[in-house]
This record gives sequence, structure tokens and C-alpha cells, in this order.
Amino acid sequence: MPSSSNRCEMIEVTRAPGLITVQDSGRPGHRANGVPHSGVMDCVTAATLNCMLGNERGAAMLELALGDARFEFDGETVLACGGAGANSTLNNAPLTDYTAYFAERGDVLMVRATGEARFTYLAFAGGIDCEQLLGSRSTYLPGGWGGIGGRSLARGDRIALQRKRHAPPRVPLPDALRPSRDTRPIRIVPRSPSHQTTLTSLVESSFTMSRASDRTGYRLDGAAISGGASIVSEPVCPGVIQLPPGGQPIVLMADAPTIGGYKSLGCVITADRSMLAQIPVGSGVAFEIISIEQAESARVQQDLSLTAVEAWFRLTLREESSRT
Amino acid sequence: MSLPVIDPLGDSAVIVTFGYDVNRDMNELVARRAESIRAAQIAGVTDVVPSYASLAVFFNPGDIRFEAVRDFVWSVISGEKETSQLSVLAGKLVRIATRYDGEDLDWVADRTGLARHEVVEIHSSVEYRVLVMGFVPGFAYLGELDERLRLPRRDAPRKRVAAGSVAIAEFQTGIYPSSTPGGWHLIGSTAESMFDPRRYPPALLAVGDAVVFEPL
Repeated sequence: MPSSSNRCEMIEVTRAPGLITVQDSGRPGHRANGVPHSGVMDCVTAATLNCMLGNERGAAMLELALGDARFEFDGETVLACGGAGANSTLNNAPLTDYTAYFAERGDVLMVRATGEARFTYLAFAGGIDCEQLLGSRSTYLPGGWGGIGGRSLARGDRIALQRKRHAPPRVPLPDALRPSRDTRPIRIVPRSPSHQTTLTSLVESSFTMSRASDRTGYRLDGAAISGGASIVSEPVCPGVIQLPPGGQPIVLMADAPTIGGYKSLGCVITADRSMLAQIPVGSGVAFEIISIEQAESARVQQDLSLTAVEAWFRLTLREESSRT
Repeated sequence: MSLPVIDPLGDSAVIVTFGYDVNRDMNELVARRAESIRAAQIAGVTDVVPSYASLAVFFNPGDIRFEAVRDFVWSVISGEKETSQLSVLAGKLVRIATRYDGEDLDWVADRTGLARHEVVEIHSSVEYRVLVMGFVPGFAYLGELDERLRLPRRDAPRKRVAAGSVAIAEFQTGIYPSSTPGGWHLIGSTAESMFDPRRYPPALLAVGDAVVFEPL
């Protein structure tokens, strides 16, 4: 429930042509009811922004895809953006990614998509406040609930923020602490040794990201792989690579259903899901098989990077406050 | 192949396959196993999700490692008796007041060679069991439908099926909790709220529940 004493309406959406949703780290714990995980598509960017603003790693922010959005501020806010490399401006002055900016009443923020990647994240110190449903503020578009009105934001919507504890540092996050934008094969953990042949075809093929891809799943275009099948539905989750009888793989994403009726070949490791989420339509996608132990190491590595950002936040804050 | 088999479902879940087909005993066995795993309340496990012949255990990889979850799940599964010796799964009985006014009712009657009232009688005379939850939040796959009503899914799914629609396809029946695309045949409707994220529990039905349709 939103705590009225700790919130104030601060931001108005004045243009929203694309898909803009409130997302946090998602909604675990309700899969047995058929409730998907949802949450941010690029958790690395989102968590990095939260850590550099002094928020909880999973705090709610805006996820923007396509189109140019415009926001107006009603009060003092600290914000930072990152992700798709958008050309954003605050009162017409260009913004740098992973840098905290101070906005005040009357200020205008524009976020312009560049097409380099798919999702831009706009985070605010304190995080967005809206009704929590089943433990999360994430918007679940197919069900029409969560976030603000269960839908993509529209002109006239107002966004409330939770009260921030302290003003974040005003210096940019060092490059070394930012998520890397390298392109390499997406690492997967195999589902079953009995699918080895089909899995080998998958990793030996190259695909392009299909236009038919959204927050529920990414379809991949390329030469059809044999071995696809309809199966008795089994539990699935974000990252699962399904192969329908037609032979064109589908990777399940954040809003994917909890069970699926296509043969599953493997699952994209947690640490690579954000990279996959940001691959633009028409770009290449390739896969690489790794062990569960390697996947665990990659995840720990990612966790350490976020811990480093949190440490940077505390240190920089202390330096700034000792100077004043 | 000897079953069950435990495989990784990525780095934050394990999936246990008990079989490869759909039948009531298998489904009940899976539901029981899911209940046992849940009851053990292992720290770091966030979700236990049963399906027809498989189940998945999701965990927070920051709290527990894959190997520990796999070993734990294996110990629960291998330590239990066969399905025939298990007591019947506890579940509640839910009555769904149904208006048999679906737009496919005539078509279903036509294809099955039954009269409309016979379709209604047959559909409402069975006590169904919730086999699986999924597709969308709160959607319960109910089985098993009388042999006389079994029809394949629509060739082309409808773009929009109204919330509360009662539908059938193959060996199952179900109720659409929200307005979604759908490929099943619509035979009726209910005013019952199948899912509400502001309610506890959010879904009206859970795996193992019994469901009876009561014609209005």
C-alpha cells in the first residue's frame, strides 16, 4: 500500500508515444497461481541506476521503449537514466547516462530513443511509489494490472515518488562501474541431456532478432532447426528457449506465462538476460552452452559489480558531505 | 529412461520430470510432491510450480545454490511412497454458477451431435479437478471433460475472449480469468472473479481443488 505520508506527486507525463511502464525487480512467489515474474527487462541497468541513487536494488522506475517521451516536474527530484543510449535532455541540456541530475518544479525532461538498444530506464532517488500488488509495483500489461493503471503511461499521468533518504552524488558513475555493452554469445544452461542434438544445432546457428518480440517473448529468425515439438505443458520461466514444431526458437522474457507447451532446449543464464533483452530488432543473436557452475560464477560476478556501485555511492556521498 | 529426472531450468530453478503424458494419477502425484517440497520450507526457495507431469522449484540464487536445491528436491522425491499409497490431495470444492450462453454452444452441439441441453447436462454433471494453473494468472486447467464433449482447439484463436467465459477444448475445461486471446470453445459464462491481485489468495482456484459448474 502506498504510504501517503512518505509520498508526493512529482512528475507529470506530458508526452508518451511509446511503451512506458513502471517496473521493479519483479513478482516472485506467485507462480503457482499462474502469475509471471514480470519486472524490468534489463535488470543490470536498472539495478545499477538504483544503486548509484542510493535506492534498494529492486526499486521501481520507468522502463521506456520506442518513441520520444516528455515529463514535467512539480517538485525537487533527483534522477538518472541509462540503458538504450537515449538522447535525453533536461531543459534542453543533454544528459549523460549514469549521472544523477537534480530537477525542480517546472523542469522538462525529454527522452529520445536512438534505436541502439531497446529499453531506456529512468530512475528516481527514492524510487517510484505506486500500489504494490502481490509484492511488486511492476506493470503486468497482459493482465492489465500493476504499475500505474496496469497499462503503458499516457499523457496526463502523474508519477509519485517515495521520499528519498539522501541526495545522491552529483558526479557521474565511473565507466568501470557501468554495465558493459559488449556483444558476445548469450550463455545458456542446457535443459536436458536428451536434447543434445537439437541444442547443438541451436548453438551452431545464428539468428536475428525478430520484429515479433515483446516483454513476453523474443522470437528469433533464422534457418529452421529440426527437433522442435509440442509437449505436455511444463513449468517455464524467463530465459527459457522454446523450440516449436516450426523450428524458429522463442526466448521467454519477463512477462512470459508460468507453463509452456513447446520443447525447451535450455535457459539463458541470469547474468546474460539483460544483454539479450537489449538486442535490437534485426541484430544478430548467437548462443553458447555453459555449465551451471559457470552460470553461478557469472551471477556472483554481476552481484559484485552492483556491490561495487553501492560502495561507490557511500564513499562519494561521504566525500561530498565532508566538503560542505 | 528411469523417472523422475531432475534437470536445471537455468541457474535459478530445477525441473523434475515424472512422465511425458497426461493422466490423473500422474497429475496427482506431481501435486503431492509439490506440496511436500513446499512443506519443507527450504530457505531461498521462492516458488514450487506443479504441471501435468513435471514440477519446477524456483530459488533465489543469492540465498541457496543450485546443487543444494537439487539434492534437497531429490531427497524429498525419493523418500516418498508411490502414488497408489498416497492419500487423496486435500483441496476445496468450488461451485461455479454458470450461464450456458457461450457463442460456440450451438457449434459444439452440432459437432458433437448432441442437443444444447445435453451439452449443458454433460458439462455440469462432472466434478472436475484443477490439474494445472497457468496460461494467465488464475487460469485453471480443469479435467477431465466427458469424452462426448472433446473437440480440438479452434484453428485460429480468438483475439479477445471475455473474462468469465467458460470454455472447453480437448480433455479440459476452464474459465478465462481476464480478457485474453483464446483458442477454446466458449459454452458459457460466470460472474465469479477467478483472479484479483488485491485479494488473498489472488486466484480463486488452486491445483487439487474440485470444481462443479452449476447451471443458472
